[in-house]
Amino acid sequence: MLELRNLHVSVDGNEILKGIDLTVNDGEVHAIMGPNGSGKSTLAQVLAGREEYEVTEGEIVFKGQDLLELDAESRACEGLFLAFQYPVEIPGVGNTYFLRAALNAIREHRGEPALDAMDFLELLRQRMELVKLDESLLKRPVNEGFSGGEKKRNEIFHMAVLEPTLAILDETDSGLDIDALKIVADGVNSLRAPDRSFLVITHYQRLLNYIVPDFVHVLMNGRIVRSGDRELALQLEEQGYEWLETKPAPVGS
Amino acid sequence: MTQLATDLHPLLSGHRSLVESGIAEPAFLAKLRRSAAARFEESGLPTRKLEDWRFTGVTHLAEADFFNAEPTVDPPVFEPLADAHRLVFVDGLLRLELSDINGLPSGVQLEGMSAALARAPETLGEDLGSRGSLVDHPFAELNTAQFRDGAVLRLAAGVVLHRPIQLAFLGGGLDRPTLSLPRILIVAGRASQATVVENHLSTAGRSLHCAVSEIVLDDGAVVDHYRIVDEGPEITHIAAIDVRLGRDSAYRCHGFTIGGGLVRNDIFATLGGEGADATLNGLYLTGGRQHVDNHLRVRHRAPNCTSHQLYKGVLDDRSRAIFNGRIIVDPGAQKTDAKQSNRNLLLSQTALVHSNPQLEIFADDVRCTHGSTVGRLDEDAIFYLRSRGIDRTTAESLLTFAFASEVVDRVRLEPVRDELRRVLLARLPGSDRIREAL
Repeated sequence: MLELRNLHVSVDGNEILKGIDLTVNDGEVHAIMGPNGSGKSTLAQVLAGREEYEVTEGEIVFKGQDLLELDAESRACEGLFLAFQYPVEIPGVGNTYFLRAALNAIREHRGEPALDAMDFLELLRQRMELVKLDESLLKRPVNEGFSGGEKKRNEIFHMAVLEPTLAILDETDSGLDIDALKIVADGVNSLRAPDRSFLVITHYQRLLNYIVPDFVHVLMNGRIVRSGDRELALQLEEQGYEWLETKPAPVGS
Repeated sequence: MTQLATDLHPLLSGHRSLVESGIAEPAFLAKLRRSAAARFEESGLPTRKLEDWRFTGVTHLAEADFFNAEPTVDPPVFEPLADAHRLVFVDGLLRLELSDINGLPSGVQLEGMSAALARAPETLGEDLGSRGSLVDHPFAELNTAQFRDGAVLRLAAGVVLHRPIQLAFLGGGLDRPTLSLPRILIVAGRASQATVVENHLSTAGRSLHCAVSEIVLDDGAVVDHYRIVDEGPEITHIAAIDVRLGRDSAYRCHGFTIGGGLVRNDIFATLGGEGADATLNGLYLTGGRQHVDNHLRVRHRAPNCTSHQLYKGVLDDRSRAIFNGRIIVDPGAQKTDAKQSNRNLLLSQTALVHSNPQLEIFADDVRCTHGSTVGRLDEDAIFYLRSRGIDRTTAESLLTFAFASEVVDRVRLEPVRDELRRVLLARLPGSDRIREAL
């Protein structure tokens, strides 16, 4: 599904990612954890195709293609989805309208006909259930005036409608209370499938109680310093990240 | 006692021929024309030294050799507004054969200005040309000195017009530059209500269209006024609109400038009766080397009045826009609630906006806000759309459409709103996708 080889990324001349190797197979859920400033969000943005981030070395292969050759919209059409840490407010563009334009662009790319209005609304209704999204948020401009929790749920709702093959969740849990967190996690879990993979970026172990990962990686100072299973996340919860800083990690250095 | 300088300003040749023709006009009008011509003769075309004309140069108009409008020009093709009472003008002269004023309800007078002057001149004396704001406006003077025709709409007290009134001003002078000078008078009686759609439409030519409107709302009257300026790329369109609002009356103007080489719209609204409300919304879509200048002056003279201005611009290529919005609150106008907002979206590096909101407040218990922004499309928003599969061109068009829709959506008259949406979409690359998703 996704393979990162020795990925180096700079922003404004500062190297943020310093050689990342990561392999995500079909159906797997990988968690990327790390302290603030470790490069987690940079990784998410680079994967989604943000042009301000310059890949100086290494490669990203997604479903057998060179991902760096594709612009952001082509990546989305190929099945990559980023749930934003800070979803952007789009005044004047209705949520439904936006989703329809996005879904039709993706379907067109796949050579599928545009969904007609009735089928589309039926799909929206189904997917809204997954994240318990209030129907009024469909008509409102995208994210405008949404609460923090509504914005995050709206991201998962978009994901549910667009049905990506690789979903990257960038700190989707931050700022959520436990009830909202469970709703988001339930939404994600209901979308888990053998041909769909997740990259869950988070600062806290808490989310991983609900979205149980197959692998956990710790990102520090632009490198993956340790990889393991769910136990690693629990260990981080207890001990924090400091112990990893003092002990040189066996991976990536 | 006609005195005409032998070297009258070339733009006043229509005034000269009016005087020389010996056409009998009511005394009040002859007097108005004489003083307007004299003032224009003295001031000439405004130069950039005048604050109101600092960013809009018009002195080149003196060198153009404009012909006066003729009633025989072939009318251009024009799609009339469905289900409307209609007067159609070509180069500012009424063409009854293109108009439709059948079935006007009683209490509504709708006719050509020339016909009204011939039929009952005394009824116009009170309302025509008595507006202080139009004096010393050089183009209003030009119009007053020599207009031949235009429209008169008068609503008796309590009349509610259900069908809109369309006033279509078509440009005919394709092969020779023409000076057209339509004059519009709208008098809405006590508690009357009407919707007026004014279209200024031309395709080619280098004519000067100089329009003056005088609008009077008696107590409790409601007038929705749509002005759609879609002139050819080399046309100069200059309009001065004076609006007087009586007690508890409401005037809502939606001004759309879609086309025209040089377009200047001046609106002077005076809230003279308590509880009056003036809403002035506008949208300008510019490209090429277009120059669009909107000057609004809203004067609160009475207490407890509200005014709202929302003007938005989308500028491309090397086009320019000027927004000058002034709100004046007189000493007695307590509890005034006035809002003004001008927002501009630049689509190119070479487009330019001068936005100048001004407040002059002489009362101490008022709420006035104003703001102006000039910006480009939000790159974060574009990336967000792209990351969901929408290509960059469509994302940009979608955001531009959304920006402009804030004004278009406020149009209550559905066929006008649909037409404006169509025009807006036609301007945007990749608009097919946007239309599909609508």
